[in-house]
Amino acid sequence: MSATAAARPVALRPLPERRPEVALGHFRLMLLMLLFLGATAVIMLRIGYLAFFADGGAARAPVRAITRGDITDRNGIALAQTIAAWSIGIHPQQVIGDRRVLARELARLMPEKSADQYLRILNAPLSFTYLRRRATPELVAAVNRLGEPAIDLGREPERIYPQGMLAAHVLGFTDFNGNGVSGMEKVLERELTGAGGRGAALSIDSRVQQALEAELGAAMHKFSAIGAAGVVMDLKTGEVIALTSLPELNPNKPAQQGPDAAFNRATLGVYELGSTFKPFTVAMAMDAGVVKSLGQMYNCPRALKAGRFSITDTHPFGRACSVAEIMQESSNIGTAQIAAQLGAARQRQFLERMHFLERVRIELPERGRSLYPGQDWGDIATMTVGYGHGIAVSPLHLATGYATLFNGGVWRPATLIKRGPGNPVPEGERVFSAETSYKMQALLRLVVTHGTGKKADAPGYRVGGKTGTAEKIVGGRYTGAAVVTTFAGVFPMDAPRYVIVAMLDDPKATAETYGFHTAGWNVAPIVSGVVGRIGPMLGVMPNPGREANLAEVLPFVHAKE
Amino acid sequence: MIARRMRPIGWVAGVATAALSFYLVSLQVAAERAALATVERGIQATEDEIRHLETEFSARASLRQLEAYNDEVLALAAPTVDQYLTSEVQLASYAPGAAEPAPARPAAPATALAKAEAAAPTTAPEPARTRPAFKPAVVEDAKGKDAPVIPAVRQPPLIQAVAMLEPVRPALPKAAAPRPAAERNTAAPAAPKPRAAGPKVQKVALLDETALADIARQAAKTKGRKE
Repeated sequence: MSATAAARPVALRPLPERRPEVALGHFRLMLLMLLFLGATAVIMLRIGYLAFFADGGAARAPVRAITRGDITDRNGIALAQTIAAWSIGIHPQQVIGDRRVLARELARLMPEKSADQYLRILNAPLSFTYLRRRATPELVAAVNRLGEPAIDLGREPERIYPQGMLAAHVLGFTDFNGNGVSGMEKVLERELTGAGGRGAALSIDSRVQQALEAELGAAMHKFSAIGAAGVVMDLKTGEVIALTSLPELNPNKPAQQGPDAAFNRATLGVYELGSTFKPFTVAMAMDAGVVKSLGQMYNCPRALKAGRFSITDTHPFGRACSVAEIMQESSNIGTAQIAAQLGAARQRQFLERMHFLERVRIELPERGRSLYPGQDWGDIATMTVGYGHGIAVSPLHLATGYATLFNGGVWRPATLIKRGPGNPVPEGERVFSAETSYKMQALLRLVVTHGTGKKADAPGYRVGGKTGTAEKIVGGRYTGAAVVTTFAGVFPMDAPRYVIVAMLDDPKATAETYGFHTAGWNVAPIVSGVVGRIGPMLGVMPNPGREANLAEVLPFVHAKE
Repeated sequence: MIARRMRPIGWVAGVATAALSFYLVSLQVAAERAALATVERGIQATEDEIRHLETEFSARASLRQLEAYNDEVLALAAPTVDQYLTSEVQLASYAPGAAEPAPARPAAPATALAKAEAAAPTTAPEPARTRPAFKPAVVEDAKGKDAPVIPAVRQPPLIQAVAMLEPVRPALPKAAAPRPAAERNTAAPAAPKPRAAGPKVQKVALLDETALADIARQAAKTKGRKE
């Protein structure tokens, strides 16, 4: 605009027409001037364009840094969050200052590498490299103070687990680029990163999780166990309220963990869970009509010959005993006889219907394969499986099995995602009859009130359950030295709502346990402690006035002298 | 003549004025937009910061940390069965929490604190210097003067007082009591009851945390059974 305005008067001025060479000179001058004016006009246009159309509104629009949704527990407490963290990078070829000095300074601020190593990086023919990701703001400020323009301080999303190691095996972790590597981070990849990245709510209750982890951790420490696992599960919906495996994993520093910490004992580990299997055998036998009454008698000698094996009991009866007594004193001999009566085919069929012979059903990718007799499922295998030996399943299998047994006999898969419109409670598959389920309540309550699981009783919460001590196979043979102790329980037993499974891997006897390392001494107290803490949180109020219907079983139990 | 000569200049001036006024309008719009973007960025930055602080807060107040505080200092135990009252008659005959207004809600586990305290002092009251190893985790943060301290925790007098546990009754509930209470009890936050100063003050951290928690729980249980 101004260009034309300025050009006009020039064009208007009358040219003196004297000599052609002068005219040519004038013409050239004018051309030059027009060039200048044109250049100015172009610059003006560009400025105008920038002023009118590219006001930067789009270019400088805030970038949504949050790329990955939160994972919360069932009450909305954040278990995994993404925040914008700092990263420190460098463009080695653009370094202006003295590289040696810079390398020394970097080594002082970030001592994980020596000055020589930093110097090598600075001399490397790279256009860009990270010096530190997930840097603290203090470090970033200090590096910025070095004043080296080649250093690039960027914001990038960082995954944070504010609850630390709580539920670490459930959550899993992400790699540096924010992709889920294990656990629910991997499973929920699509939900977390999809449009909007809404986030997801797990079925975990972090308070329950904390109680379980604390009690298990204390017991593991006390009994010098090499590991522990625990599950709390809503038996009606299959929601896992707490699931833990110790030693624990720190998802905030996944790279620094040993393989033992990364191993999820609750779902990936499979163990012979011993006597906790006995209720299944009895329930199967009752359902199949083999055991018609809890007062049915079996001959319980001091040792039972089965092929070349001899089955023994820790509390031998040496007399005839009822089914209720077999369960109360956790008799291998009695259970083996019930299992033998049931037969291999039916036993296998029941275990299949309980989904014990396949990987446990849960969202987690870390799931172990059960070990079971397979082709040679003969009589002896049937008997040993009957009391939980010769079959290895994960603790979560056990929890699912107990849920099946006590929710009226319907198997439902376990889930770590909160039940709701997006994850409705499935129909389930019936395994046991409701009547069997009801009778088992009294039987397992008996174990806690009168049997091997007395220490698991949390007053008022009506805990019922079964202890299990299984010898570990060390060097190809069972040894009494190393055991896996388990308690699988249900509370409140008069109207079952929650399953709790606790397991210790290789607990040692202590003076406090009088040299015993059986489940009744080390795992049962955990259950008592946990239930006492989590009961009110889960809405189970202690009530000494309520009790399971023990009249079902007490008539069949010999009074102790 | 002059008017004719001036006409182009008038045109130029007119066009320039019009262009300038258009430009001013658009400049204004651009400025408004820029201001809006600035505000939006400010909101974004604030949101990020809130998120950051929330994350930091939840990390510092993580359940694990609260449990550690509880094991070290408060020794609260889960309420036992006899602390749940189901009827007015029970309430009337309930001695330990006599001052406690337990309303119609049957399960007000508000007596947990009193219970644990009554139970805990059985641990030998030793002088504090026999346990030099005990360093409350909170104080350590504030110790490193050169290390940047997050303002939220920068209240050394308050928290140190808690850790040392001289008679600092007002500071105690303020600093740490409400949170563990909220963790422990789903229902009403346990109102810290007036407590008798004395040996219970020294129960803190005489033993390692697990043993202490064990003892407290055990004691609470046995006491509950006796009553």
